[in-house]
Amino acid sequence: MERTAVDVVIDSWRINDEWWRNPVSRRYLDIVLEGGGHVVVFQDLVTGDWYLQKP
Amino acid sequence: MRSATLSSDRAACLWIPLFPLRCEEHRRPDLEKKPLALLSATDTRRVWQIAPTARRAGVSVGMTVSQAIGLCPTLVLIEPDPVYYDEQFTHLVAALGHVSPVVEPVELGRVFIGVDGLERLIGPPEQQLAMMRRALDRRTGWASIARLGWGRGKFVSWIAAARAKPGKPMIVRDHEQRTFIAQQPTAVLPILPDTHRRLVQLGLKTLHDIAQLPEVAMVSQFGREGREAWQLASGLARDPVIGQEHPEPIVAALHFSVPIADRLLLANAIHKLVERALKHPRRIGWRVRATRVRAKLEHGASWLAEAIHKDPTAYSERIVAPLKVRLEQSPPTGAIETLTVEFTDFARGTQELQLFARDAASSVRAGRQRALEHAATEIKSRLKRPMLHHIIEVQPWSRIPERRYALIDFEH
Repeated sequence: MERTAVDVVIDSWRINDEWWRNPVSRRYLDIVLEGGGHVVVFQDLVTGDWYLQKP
Repeated sequence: MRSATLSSDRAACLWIPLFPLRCEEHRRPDLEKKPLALLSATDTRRVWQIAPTARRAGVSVGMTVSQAIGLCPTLVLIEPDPVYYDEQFTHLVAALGHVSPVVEPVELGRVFIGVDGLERLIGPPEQQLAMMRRALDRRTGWASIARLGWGRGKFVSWIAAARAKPGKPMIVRDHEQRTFIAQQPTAVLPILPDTHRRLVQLGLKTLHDIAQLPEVAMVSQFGREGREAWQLASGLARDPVIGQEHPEPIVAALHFSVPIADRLLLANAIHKLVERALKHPRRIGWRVRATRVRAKLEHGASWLAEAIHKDPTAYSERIVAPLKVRLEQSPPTGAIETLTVEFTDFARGTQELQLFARDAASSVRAGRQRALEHAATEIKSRLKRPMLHHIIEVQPWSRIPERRYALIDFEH
């Protein structure tokens, strides 16, 4: 994936869910990229990996 | 969907004796050589169907379980699974529908197939029956044990099937019919046991004996039943195969990438699938009489719920309501991987006036659907995999975005 600098973080939130099965723990960031792109990314707090949240 | 007026004078009969028992052997081949007995669905203390090996040990139908085990200690008792038998029989009937449009199922394991016109299409009776066997072979596993008979009318073809051996069909041609019928015992007549007993007391042992009597003599003794028996025995009865309306089931399925166990979510998914199945173009002009929900669970288990709608309907809420009750009464025992809703029986939609308006909209949708299907086929042939999907809302309230919707192949 192409690397692009973050211009501004609009919002961030965290979810912890499905603890009874395969726990889901994520930190979401709603960000505007340099150049105006608007994306939501999250970090899987179990594995540490980053993902782009597709709509 | 087939018309109710389809009929055929010449008939083939397919018969698989002890069909439910064969279904169990089909499902579990390791049981094939064992002395099996199926328990009665209404009284599980008694046996309902018995494999020949168990019969040889002295077990008979209606015996209590303790009596049966006393006679045959190695007896394998199985609880009946009527849904499975019905499902297998439906597949069998559907397979025969590929050979002839006139198919009349009578009971589990016995079907009449209208063969008028097949001579010019397929060839002589031998070839017609061979085609039925091939259709069964391709689509079901029943070809090797099915008995097939061929003749004029259901009565003759049924006796022929009962006399035939698996793999060796019996054909009764027109010029052989009179002799064939004459030599049959009176036990083959579809009459009450008491009438049969009286025939024996009168010394009438074969159909020839009955055919020799004047028709009025049989009528004066046995009334309408006597007339029917005389006509069958004389080969004068006309009993054509009547093709029943046999709409193909409408199926809508959903696969969950993460198995779901939540009942609310499951009920919601069932509702969505019912709504999708209702939009199917084949549903136009028909109300739903029976719905079946099947689920494939984690670890290979399954779950099934069925609802027969006393008042056939085309409204999703009315279809879903009894299914929700089933879901509450006997929920799945594990998380669900695949959920399938199937409309298995229909009634004509003329009683619901609003349906006409709905159907007008449906026909417009049907046109769009056909165009989409064409596009989907083209995409699949070009890209070698289906790229067109439906988006189904499954858990709109979920905090995890990818749980809110599911993608399913357009062809489903």
